Amino acid sequence: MNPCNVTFEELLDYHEQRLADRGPVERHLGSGCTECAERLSWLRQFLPALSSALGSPAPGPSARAAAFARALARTEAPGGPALRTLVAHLVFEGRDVSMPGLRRTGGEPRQRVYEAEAVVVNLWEEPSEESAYLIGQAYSREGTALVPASVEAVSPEGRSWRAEVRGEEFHFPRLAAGSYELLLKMADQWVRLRDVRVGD
Amino acid sequence: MIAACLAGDAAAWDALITRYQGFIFALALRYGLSAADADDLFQDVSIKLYRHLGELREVRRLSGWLAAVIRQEVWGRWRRREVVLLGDLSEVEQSWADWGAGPDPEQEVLALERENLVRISLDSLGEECRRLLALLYGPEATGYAEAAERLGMPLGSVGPRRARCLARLRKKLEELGY
Repeated sequence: MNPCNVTFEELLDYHEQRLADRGPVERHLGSGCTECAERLSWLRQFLPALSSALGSPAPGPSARAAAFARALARTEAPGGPALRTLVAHLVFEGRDVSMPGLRRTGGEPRQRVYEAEAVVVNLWEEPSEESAYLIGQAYSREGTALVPASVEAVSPEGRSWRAEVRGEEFHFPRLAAGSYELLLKMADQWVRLRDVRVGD
Repeated sequence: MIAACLAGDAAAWDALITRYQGFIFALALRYGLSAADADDLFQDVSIKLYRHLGELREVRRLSGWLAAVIRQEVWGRWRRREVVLLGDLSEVEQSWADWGAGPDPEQEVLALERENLVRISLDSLGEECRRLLALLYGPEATGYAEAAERLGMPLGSVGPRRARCLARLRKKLEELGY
């Protein structure tokens, strides 16, 4: 039997050399008390970590990146095959465009085209007073419609909105003015559209 | 936690991200990425983590797995010139060389993980504990007397209270698997 009769506070005082008489604790540790050895080991490892944690601000990803990571669990089952992530680039932007279905109730509609390898994403934006209606479609370069399993728009603050997928289109009926990252989950890859500005 | 994620528990995945986001981001910064590039890398590593959860049954092994993935990602992006590493390039290269050549290259990863977990655990302690620990162990640590004066507590209470606060911190870390 090796009853542990040293308190956590005594062990802490021993570790920080605050004990006038270190002998009893040293003898206890020398007797092979595994519980105290573990507690002392914890103090040696975590007190430096505590000082570091208190000494600098917590580094962390942006709210938008964190929201993207959290959204993964809402869009697919874990442990599936690895999907590539393609970052799409803006290749065209124009205003006063025609698009079947656009209601023209607000300001000038805007069209943007993004490309990511073999995927082309068309976005049409119809602005209104405080928000915008965003419609999107994804195609292959050959013009075949690619219907995403899901589409999320994530704001810089990390708030996210899920699009309604209607046929070959995805719709965001009311997006507040601002910058969004659009995340399209396709059958075999993610497509990211960065800094999609809405309402400007 | 991983088992819950694999069972489709979105709250468990949220908790896993909360626990490791600071670690992933800090390690990316440690390799010299800018905050914007570290943000991108964090998202891609999150996807990989989500996809490989089935192979990672033990949370304790997660930081090592993440560290290996982050290292590969940063190295690959640097070689493909997709990112610019901050700081003096020779220092970065030396840092890479040291990483593999050191006697125990996992120590720095473990230290970063501990620091990250301590940050998370500190948030769950009360304000009084956080203030006391900051006064005794923070960058501008004071003695017991000044801590007692600033917190308006008897001098004889400082030692016992800091021990209770640290014991609570340890319990919280045990709940997180450490």
